[in-house]
Amino acid sequence: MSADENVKTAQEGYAAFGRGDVPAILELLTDDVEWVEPGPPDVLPAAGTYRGKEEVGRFFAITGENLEIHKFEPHAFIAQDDHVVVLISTEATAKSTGRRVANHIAHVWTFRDGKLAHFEAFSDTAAAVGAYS
Amino acid sequence: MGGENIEFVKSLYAAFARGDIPAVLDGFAEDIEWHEAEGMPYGGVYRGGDAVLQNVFGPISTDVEGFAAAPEEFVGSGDTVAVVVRYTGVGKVSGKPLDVPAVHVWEIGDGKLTRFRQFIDTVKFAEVVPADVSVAA
Repeated sequence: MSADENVKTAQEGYAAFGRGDVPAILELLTDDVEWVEPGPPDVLPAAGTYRGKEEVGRFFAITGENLEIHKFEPHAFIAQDDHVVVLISTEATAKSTGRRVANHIAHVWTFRDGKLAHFEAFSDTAAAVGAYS
Repeated sequence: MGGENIEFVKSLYAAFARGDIPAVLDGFAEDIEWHEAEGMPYGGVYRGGDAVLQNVFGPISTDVEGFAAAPEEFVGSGDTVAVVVRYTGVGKVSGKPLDVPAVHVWEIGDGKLTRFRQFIDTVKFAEVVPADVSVAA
């Protein structure tokens, strides 16, 4: 798959996330996908490493239960070979505290045969911790 | 071009690794815009190489003994190069080992770096360099 096709797949993923269609996101993943969300798991409910579609589905469920997302804008797609790096501006409220936080996030997607095999998010976790505590 | 930009960015990581900071600064545009993640002890936006040296490179090399930023993956398209890097070293005050991945996003114009954006698990960095013990505090 070309970098352009991988970008299209990533864009499909964000569009599905925007309309809350988690099954459509899971369709884009390899069966053995590894999904890494940073942060201290004792404070950030969705932090951790998830393996396989079922666990990634759980990641989205936990995220939905804990965060009200006001803004989620992927604004740059940097792609080469099997990698797509996506830059995202977000604003969300932690439901447990009512605190709203803005963040800048980078997602690194690694593809295998046109499907997402490895996902890792990089974000200012201190800002997220501030919203939850 | 993507390939040339990657070679250029690679050469600057190599210069940083051998401690040749003047060569790194020489790769910066005069008005480089440096976005250090807010949750870092050095968090903020800096303009120009001197400001980066004073607010980021200087304090991090004091706070972290043997600080290194080793590139693991380069992803380039157009004038942008994203780099997955691994920060290593030992926290001077905490004595804890640093091993944290980050993403650096560079923009290149006229053969110089014009913008830097950093994405990192700032909590993980703070476990090794708590903000209140950083020389940047």
